[in-house]
Amino acid sequence: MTTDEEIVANKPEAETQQSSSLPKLDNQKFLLKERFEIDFSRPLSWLDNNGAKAFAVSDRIDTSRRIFALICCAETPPRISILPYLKSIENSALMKLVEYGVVTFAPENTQKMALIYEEPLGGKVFDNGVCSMQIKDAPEKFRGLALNFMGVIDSFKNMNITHRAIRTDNLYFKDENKSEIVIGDCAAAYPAYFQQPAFEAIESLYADKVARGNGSDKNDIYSAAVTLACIVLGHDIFQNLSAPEVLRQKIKKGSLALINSVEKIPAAFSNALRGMMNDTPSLRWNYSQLFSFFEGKQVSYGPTSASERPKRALNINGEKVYMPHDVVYMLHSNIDEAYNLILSGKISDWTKNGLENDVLTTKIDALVKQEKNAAGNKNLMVARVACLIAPILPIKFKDMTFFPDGIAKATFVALKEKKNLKPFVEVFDSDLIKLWYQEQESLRSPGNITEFRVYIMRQEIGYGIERIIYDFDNDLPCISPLFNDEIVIGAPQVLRALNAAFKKENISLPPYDRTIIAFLRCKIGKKIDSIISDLNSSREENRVAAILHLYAMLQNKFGPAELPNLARWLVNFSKPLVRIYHNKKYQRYLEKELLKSNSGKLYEIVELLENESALEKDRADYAAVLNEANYLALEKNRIENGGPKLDEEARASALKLVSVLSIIAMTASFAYNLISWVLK
Amino acid sequence: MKNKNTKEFDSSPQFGKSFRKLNLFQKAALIILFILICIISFPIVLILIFGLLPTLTILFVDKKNYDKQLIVGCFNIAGVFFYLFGVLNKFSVGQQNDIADNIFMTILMLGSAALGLVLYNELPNFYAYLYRLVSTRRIDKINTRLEKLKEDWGEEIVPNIPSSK
Repeated sequence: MTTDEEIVANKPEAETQQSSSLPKLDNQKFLLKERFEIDFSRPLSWLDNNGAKAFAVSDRIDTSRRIFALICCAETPPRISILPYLKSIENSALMKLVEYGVVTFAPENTQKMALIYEEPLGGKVFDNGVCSMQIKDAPEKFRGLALNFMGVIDSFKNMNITHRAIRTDNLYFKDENKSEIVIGDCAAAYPAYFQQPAFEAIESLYADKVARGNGSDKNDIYSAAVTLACIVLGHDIFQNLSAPEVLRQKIKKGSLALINSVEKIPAAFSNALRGMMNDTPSLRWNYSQLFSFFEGKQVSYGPTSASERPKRALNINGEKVYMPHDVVYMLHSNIDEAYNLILSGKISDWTKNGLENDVLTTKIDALVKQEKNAAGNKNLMVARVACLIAPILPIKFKDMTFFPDGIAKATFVALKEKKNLKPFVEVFDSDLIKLWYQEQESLRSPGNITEFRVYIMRQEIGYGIERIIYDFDNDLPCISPLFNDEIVIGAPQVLRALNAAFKKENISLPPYDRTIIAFLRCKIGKKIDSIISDLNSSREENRVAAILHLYAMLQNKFGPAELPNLARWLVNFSKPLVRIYHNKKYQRYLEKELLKSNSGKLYEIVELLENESALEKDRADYAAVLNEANYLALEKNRIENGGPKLDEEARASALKLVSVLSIIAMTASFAYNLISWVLK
Repeated sequence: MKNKNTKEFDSSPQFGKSFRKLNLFQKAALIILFILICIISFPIVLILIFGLLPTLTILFVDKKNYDKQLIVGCFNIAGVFFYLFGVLNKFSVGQQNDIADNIFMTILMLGSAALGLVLYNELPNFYAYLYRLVSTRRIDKINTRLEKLKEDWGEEIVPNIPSSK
């Protein structure tokens, strides 16, 4: 997970938001990192790739350098998490990523991610599906090319990332002599999203395009092998076939056999390609195996599919199926029958006697026992059993087929397109993903996988499905409806996007939503847990204070120094916080001061509203005034209701007074007369 | 209070009881002594009877109203003292003829009783009127203050106390 500290430590990303604050040159240009001048008036459509549009760029420092920018589209956001690694890779067979950052895309006046690459000088290798390079008669060239491709894949593997966009239309000649080939961009869109079916391995073709996930180097090796096959053949393959048809034929014939069935690959190349294109991912050759093969050493291809075929078939929907892949496919196609087969123990029988896999049988029996005790979801049960039978395949649940590392993107798309999220919730609420990872030999499940169920169960802001996708996938931008088309790839962009997207008609809406808070929690970390807890408070003033603190903290940390629109929005939103002061005069004063504070500095709003001494004085004064008001009201009530009784009291007092007066008069008279008598 | 006053002023039964306990000789001696004193100090007795007429009237007419008896009595006695001490200097048996003639002294004795009566009747009313006036002004002040508090601190600051009216 990318935390706040990591963002700051991650220089390129930190630079990203600096760049967007730089002044624009003119309407059609943008200066990235004070160096790269992107000219939106000069499109380079032949370099458009992975859904991104290419534009000419000039380097202000090295003016002779030929570079271009890919402006990523909003529909398929870029793979942000691999950008720093991609930038650091130096490989002659890979198009060099020079720089990247968020830019203001002038034609649409929105913020988009720009990837600056070195421009390939020799053009595209494949033009309209035809290869302009002939290697059919040059095995050495093929060897060099294959090792170059494997070298690139190895470079990616060393950084624990994958390319997932190796295909014929992503190959370019590096130089004008067209002697060197480079593999193009891989970061402008979801992994393997724009891959044609021919270039994807069987297991990847099963998955929905958006949910193919990052995969592993085995996927890249397969794609490289098919690309090499196309170069050898001199043209693209299976361009007219749909993805399900390609998948069906690949399953039926095997990948290499399918290509050979269309056009025979010369023997000099097919042996290497057979090793690279193996339909069992674990058996695909890596760089050293391929190198050994080219060195003339014996390298194993693994068992043939015929020798792997189970002895017994399983009868599903009237069809006899032998291979685990086929069984899984048939189980998913006939859920009700599959569920009955599982519960009746026929699947266990097949795994025991057909696959002769006792461990698998025990696992399925345990699942069946568990299911019989508490009957649950049919789809879930079939998906679980499918995971056990063919763990290399993606998970299929209802209409979704996904690899666990791709489900976050699939959920993201569903969220963005406002589709039904219930199936995703069911998946996250189940043990499917955990089970899938447990069955993988070379993959470890992410540490936060156990928290998914907790997040799903908690309906509070900052949790839920939004939290899962951002926690699980660092590539995903924040897609709050409050942002319009602004791309928000990290915490620093949130305030800027809110400020830019502010509209007068939105002023009554709160300047945050579930998506923003979940996104910030994932990017900033535990630091904002107390703020999230306040945001879930039933008291409005607590929620307002929490969001003010959060945004002020973000502004202090990441800038920009002035956010006038957001400040205006927050001022309007802060009214409940003004009301925590009891004194109406002070409330009016605060409202007046808030209206005056148009500097766009959020901490000024916080300081104004959360003045501790003023708050304490207000509380003390209020307590005193409350006492006074109570006393006065009681006194008033006593006087008003006292009437005749008080009259009586007044009369009694008057009588006492007169009595005393009379005694005094008598005594005084006596004393006066006595003294006068004595003196006389 | 009333009981206390009753004990204080209703001494005649006690006197009667004590008087009845005396033997015949003692009773006769006392009566003779009293008659003698009356004869010897006849002018004083006459002044007292005449001067204290208002008090005696109230004692008979308004027996239970001790406040009235006290106030009128005290003022009355205060007026009587002026004449009584004047008589002591020129004490003679014929003095009593002057009593009725001295109109000033008569006015003083009876006027003082009248003053006591006026004070008894009117001062409580006046006092109650003053009290009501002060209360009204106090309520006005309270209302003004409460309005100010409402203005400064909001309506909720003033508790809603139900009136018993």
